[in-house]
Formats: sequence, C-alpha cells, structure tokens
Amino acid sequence: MTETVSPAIRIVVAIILLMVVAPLVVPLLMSISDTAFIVFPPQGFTLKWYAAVLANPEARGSFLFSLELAAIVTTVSLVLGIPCAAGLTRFKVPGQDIMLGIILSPLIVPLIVTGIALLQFFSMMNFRATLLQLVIGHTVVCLPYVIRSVSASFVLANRNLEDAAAVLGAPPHVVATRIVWPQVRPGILAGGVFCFIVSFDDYPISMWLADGNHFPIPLYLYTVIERSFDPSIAAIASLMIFFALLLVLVIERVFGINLARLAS
Amino acid sequence: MTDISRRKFGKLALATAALAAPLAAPAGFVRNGFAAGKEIHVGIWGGSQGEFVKKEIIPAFEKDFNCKVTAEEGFTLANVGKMRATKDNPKFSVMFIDDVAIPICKAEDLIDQLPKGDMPALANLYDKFAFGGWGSALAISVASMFHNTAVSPPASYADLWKPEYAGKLKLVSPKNTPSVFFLIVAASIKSGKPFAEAQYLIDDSFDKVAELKPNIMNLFDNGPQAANEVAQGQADIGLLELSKYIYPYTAKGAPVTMSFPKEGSFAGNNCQVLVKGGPNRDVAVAFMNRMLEPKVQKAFSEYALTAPPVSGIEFSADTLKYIAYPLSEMDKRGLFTPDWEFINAKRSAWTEKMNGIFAV
Amino acid sequence: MAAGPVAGRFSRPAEMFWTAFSSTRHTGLFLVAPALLFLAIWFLWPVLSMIVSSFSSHSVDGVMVEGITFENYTRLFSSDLYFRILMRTVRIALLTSLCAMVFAYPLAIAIARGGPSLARLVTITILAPLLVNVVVRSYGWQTILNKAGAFAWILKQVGITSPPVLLYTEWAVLIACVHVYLPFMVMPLAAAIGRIDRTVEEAARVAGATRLKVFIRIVFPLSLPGLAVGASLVFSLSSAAYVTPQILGGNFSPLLGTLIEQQILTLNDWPFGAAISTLLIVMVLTVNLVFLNAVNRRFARWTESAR
Repeated sequence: MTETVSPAIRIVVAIILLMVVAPLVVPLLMSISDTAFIVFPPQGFTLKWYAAVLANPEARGSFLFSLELAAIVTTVSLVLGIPCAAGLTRFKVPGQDIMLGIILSPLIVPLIVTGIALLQFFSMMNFRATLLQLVIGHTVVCLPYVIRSVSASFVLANRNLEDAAAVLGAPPHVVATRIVWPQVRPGILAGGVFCFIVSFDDYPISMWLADGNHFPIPLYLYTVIERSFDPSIAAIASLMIFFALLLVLVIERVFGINLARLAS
Repeated sequence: MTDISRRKFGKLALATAALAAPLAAPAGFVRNGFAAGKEIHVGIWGGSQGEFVKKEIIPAFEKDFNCKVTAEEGFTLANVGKMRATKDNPKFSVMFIDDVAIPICKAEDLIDQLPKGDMPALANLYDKFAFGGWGSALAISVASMFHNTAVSPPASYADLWKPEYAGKLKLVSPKNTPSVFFLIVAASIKSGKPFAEAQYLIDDSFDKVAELKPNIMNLFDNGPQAANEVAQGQADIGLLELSKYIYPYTAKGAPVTMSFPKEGSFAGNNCQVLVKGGPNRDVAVAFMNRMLEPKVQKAFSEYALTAPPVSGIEFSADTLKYIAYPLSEMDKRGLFTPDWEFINAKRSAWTEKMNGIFAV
Repeated sequence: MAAGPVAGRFSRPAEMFWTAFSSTRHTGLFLVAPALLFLAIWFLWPVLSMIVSSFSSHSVDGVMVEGITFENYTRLFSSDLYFRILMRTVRIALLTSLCAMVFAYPLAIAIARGGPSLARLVTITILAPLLVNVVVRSYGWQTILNKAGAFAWILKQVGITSPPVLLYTEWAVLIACVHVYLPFMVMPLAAAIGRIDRTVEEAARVAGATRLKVFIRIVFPLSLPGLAVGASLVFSLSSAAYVTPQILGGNFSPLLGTLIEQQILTLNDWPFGAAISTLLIVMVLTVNLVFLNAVNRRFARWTESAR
C-alpha cells in the first residue's frame, strides 16, 4: 500500500491543528502571569489566580450545579430514550416516520429559539420551579441524541443471535439481558456521555431559564469574562480546559468509547 | 488583585465584621424572628457593587435575620423586564434599578411605596433621593468620560468627533442607562445648547451620532469590561460610564480614570424599589432598610466609590477624592439629571435608531 | 457468576411480565409514548405557541392584544436594519460553512487515509475542543485577537508594527465560528471519504492522474453526501450562534440571535422576538432542505458520470 497522504497535506494539517489548539493554549499562558491585568506575553510566574478561583464559592457552586444538572438530565434522557429507541427499531409503531420526525425535530430548531419558546411557555403556565425548567429544557435537546445513538446500536445488533437464543429456549428477558444488552451497551454509553456533555456545556437554553440559585457554569463563565479584571479569568478558562481533557481521558479509558464515535 | 486592593479588602472585611457583630448579637432572635426561614429574591447590579452586596451585605443580613437572600445580577432594563414578566406572581421582592426606571415601574404598577414606619433608616435620606416615596437611592455616581491615564482627554466632548480618535473610542451600548447621557451629549454638541435643553432635541441629533461612528471601536455592554480594555490600552477613551464602574479600578492602581468635559456631567442614581406583591414583604423591607443603614452605606460607598444618599457619613480624604459628598458638594458640581419621563417614552425608538447606525 | 441466582429469582415474574408485555400489538407504542409525549408537551407545544404569538401585536406595557396581525413580519422586512442583520447572519453562516469546508478536507483526508496514529491525533485534536465550553473558546479568541493580544504580538515579532485590530469585527466572529463548528464538518466528511473505495484512487494514480486530479475527479464528488451533511450542520449552528458574536462582535456585528435577545430582554417586545425566532427556524429549515436536496441530485449525476 502506498502512502496516501501527501507531505503537503501533512503540513497543512499541522498548521490547522495548531490554529485549533491556539485559543486553548493562550489562556493557559496568560493564567500564570504575575500581573494585575491580562497581558501577552505573560510576565513572571504565579499560581495565585488558580488559588483565587478555587477558593471562590460562586465558581464552585456553579460548577457543582452544572454537574448535578447534567447527571439528572442524562438519567432522564436515558430512561425516556432507551425504551423509545427499542420501540422504534424492534416493534411496529403506527406512523413511524412522523414519530421519528417529532423526535428529531429539536435538533433542527435553533437552541436559542427553543429556550425562548420554553421560557414563554413556562411563564404562561405560571410554572416556577427553576431546576425542573432547566431539566426539561436540557432534556428536550439531549433526548434526540440519545435516541439516535441507541437506535443505531439496536439496528446494528445481530438479530440472528437473538433468534438463535430464542430457538434454543432462552426466555425473552434472558435474550434481552444476555444477548441484546451487550450489543447495545456501547450505543447507550455513547448517547449518555454525549448527553452529559451537551447539558454541561449548554448556554443558549440556560440563559433564558436559569436564576440566581440555579446558575450553570457556562453562564457563570460569561459573567466572569464580562466583569473580571485580572488573570483569574484566564485561570478559570484553563481549569475548564483541564476538566475537558480529564473528560476525554475518562471517556476513552473508563468508558472505552472512541471519541470519534460521539461525533458520528 | 493588587496588593493595594487586598489590603483594602482586609480592612473592609474587618469593618463589616465589626458592624455586623453588635447588630446581630443582642437583638437577633427577638427582633428579627419574623424573618426566620424565609427567602427573598433580590435583583442587583453587576460589577463591584454587586460583588460587595453578594459577599458582604447579604451574608451579614442572612445571619442577623436567619433568612435567605438570593441575588441575581442584571442591568436596569433587564431587571424591569423580570418584574414585568412575573407581574401576576412576583418572584423578586426587591429590585435595584436606576432612577430612570422608577417612573416606568410606577406607571406600570410594578412597585409599592416604601413603608416609612418600618424603615427607620429612611430618616437620614436626602429628600432629593426619595422619589416621592417610590424607592430610595442607594448610591450616587457621576457619569462621564473615562480614559487611559496615558492619554490626555479632551476638554470638550466636541473634540471626540475629530479624526484623530478614529477607532479609539468605546461607546456604551443602547441597553445601558448611560447611553441616554451620550445621546444628550450628542444633541448638545450639535445644537450648542446645555443638557437641559438638548435632551429634547435628541430626535434631530442622530446624524451627529452617526458622524461619530468611524471613531468608535465597539459598543460595550458592560462597564467593568470596558474599563479593563481601556486600562489595557485597547481603546483610549470610553464614552460615558458611571464612576462606580471606573473608580474602584482606579483605586486599585489600574491606569484608567475619569475626566469631566466642560459641557458637564450626569448624575447616576442607583436606586432600590419594593416590588408590588413580592414574597415576604417584611423581610424585603428589612433588607431595604439595611441597605440604607449608616454603617452599610459607609462600607458600600467606600467599596464602590459612590456617594451615599443619606446624610451624616464621615469619609476619609482618600475616598472624598472620588465622590461628591455631602449634598452641598453634589449641588456644587451641578450634576445633570435628565427628564426621564420624556426619555422613557422614546427609548425603544432610540434603541432602534442606534441599532440602525451601529449594528449594520 | 452473580447474575445466575439473581436472574433465577426474578425469572418467573420477569418472564411472565415480559411475555405478556412484548406480545401485545401496542408494545412499540408503549415504549415510544413517554419520550414522544415529553417532546410533544415540552417542545412542540411551546415552539408552536411561540410561532402563534408572533402573530399577536404588542402594546406598550407588555400586555398582548388578541387577534392576528402580520405587523411583526412587515416590520422585519420593511426596515432596512433588520433585513441587513438577517443578511449578515446568512453571510456569516455561509462563509463559516465555506471556510470550514476548506479546512475540513485536508483534516478529513488525514483521518480517512492517514495511518492509524495520524488519524487518531487529528481526530482527538479536532474533537477534544468540543468538550471545552463555547464561552471559554470565545474568550480564548478574544485574548488572541485583541489589540494587545497574541496575534498582534506575533505580528510585531515579524516586524509588522501596526497590526489590524480584528477583535470586535465580523472577522473575529467568523474566525471563532469556524473554530467552534469545524468538527461538525470534519467528521461527516471523514466518514464519507472513508467509504470511498481506495482501489479507485489507486487505479487513477497508476493511470497517471495527479493527486489534485484524483481529488477533483474522485474524492470530491464521492464525498459530496458527507459535505452536504456537514455544511447543513455548520450553517444551522452558526446562523443561530449567540455566544460567539456576543463576545467577539462588540455589538458591531449582531446576528439574529443577539437581536432576539435584545427584543426580549431589553425592549420586552415578545411578539417581535417571536417573529425573529420564527424567521430563524424557517431559514434553517429551508437551507437544510434545499441544500441536502440539491447535493443529493447533483450527487446522483456525478456518480452516474463516474460509472
């Protein structure tokens, strides 16, 4: 087999990757600058901005709240999404195309619009529980991803194995747990992880629904960018980048999901 | 934070602790029992004022009254929007807004008059800041031009239209109150009339506003961020912001400060209002009273470098450099307060015109 | 195995339940119903009622007036202002798709045709930033593009003393949008290129075609379905972008998203905000349909001629 990627393309790829990484590396450099305002190139070395951010109860509170919210949203999405995917792929459902259309429609409507529509709807119904509003808003966006990912793995699962097990006398629930489950598990994991990330990073839905008590980390980051004067903003950005790297590791090592799978 | 600010912060923390202790200890359970376990939502501003309210005033109040106060940051028009959106079933009990919005809130029946009998701290409030009982000022700022200390600011606003400032100015965005001040300045430059007359000529002055466009780098939504960028030298001059957003950074040693062109300056009155039908009104009233108590006012004013609306507070010479206090000093500076009722009716149309100039 | 006794203990009731449940005609419907109902109530209903509200008029104190009016839509199109913001949104979204395409091809080729380690390096570097919040990434660009930032510093090192200020221009918004949405172009393209039979390319190379020719005549046409998916994704996402233009556009280059926020949060004009939102939905839908359709038809023709 000959080399199919030419050196010219390799160079271009290297340059593009550098540009992709640049906006993540520059805040990192600035976060260690020992100056009262943000300067480039950074001067001196200090970790005091990190200490300041870690000691900040607001930053911690928002971070923990976002984790909690994403965990709830992932659970709800999986509980609703797995049966739905099974129903769509394994059973006859009347009006299947229309249903699929409804289920995937949140992916087409711009998030910022979904957010306002929900805000208007909630205030019309005098529905005030903020946490519940956020859970509903995020689940609306995450559910289609879960259903898509889990459906795909149901479709890919080998039905001959199920038939063989059934013929050999395995009762349906055993077929479900021993034959189907191991095959759809990667799809469920990938859907769940993707759902968690979408919820954790959401801005356009939360910006309409959040309040002072329920203030997800993306909104907090935005207010920090607006009001902060010193490199602590670069430090908090760097911490978020470290957290993302940790997430990559967890996803790849612990869950054994290839990152590429999430995007497909 | 710089060393200066850290030292200052330490002093402040001590001061607040000292004032909180005697208030809390003797009277706590008996006097403030009514508030126990209750919660109120308060809409506040961002920037250093918001920071101080969140970090100092609210925790002390919560401790004294054994209640919970949740603060949400916003700017005046957004805070009014929040009150409107929840008018039938209010969520907020106290709102911090600029004086500009008090007539709106009154007309739309969003707020109540303050109960004088339950707010002893109102006794020291200057009449000028009582708004007929429909709210009280909390902090008086001066709105003017701010600049990087490396540049020398022009003595007149008219100079800003000169080509030498191309791309060097930051202008406040139409969502913020000081945007109206800018429109008055533009009208005044065009007509040559003082602010008091120029404010009625704004409709005819948008051509003057459009002429300034080549000199504007961007429209900023947020005072602290604009102050930051001017301090970094990204822009030379910022057009109209309240001193409360600028001076705290000046005092921290950042190379940004304010200047006062000969046409005059504006009064920026930050106020609090009592939301009509808001939850736990008794706690809300106690909170508003707390905001006006002399010790809170002193610490609050020193932190954000604003003048208090109440009489009888002593400041150090260092602080008095930045604020116009007491009342006689404010009057001497002749700070201009626009005709808000006239302006409010036009605000939406003006925002659209500003969009038409800058957003295309 | 621990599963054995547990399964045994529960097998009777579970089996009975499952047999009874899975044998009815409506099992599929039962399984789908909860998710479907959830989305019908919390997505379809709110969005439809928002669209309906865009036909109501607005009175000064924020109370909606009954009746149907097209006032909000005529206002959208009668004023030069809103039309130009609409055009800017379309322009930025198209340019973002175009730039993303140009950058994505080399990356996709590296993923689909490079060795395993190159493919993995590119994939991880492209996808990992997706886990970093958009706010943080936009901030990163702010630190690079501002007047005293990294970009200006680098230009100064190579002797350019008065660097162009990119922050708070449409360029800044475009650069950050391309960065944020690039992965959505790369992945479908890489998948499409990966599906192309390598032997076709190799045959063409053996027959003397240059690499460029192979790309133009084989790789590009056969990757069009992937391109269509990627382009419609990037267009939809960037036309609805809010955070990036807000942080990097400095109110000089608002897109429809910013306009919606301004109408609703600052001016409290809900019906007009709803009208802009409806317009955004219609725009995204149309572009998706038209684009996917056109490319599919084109693709059919291309493959025919390739045969």
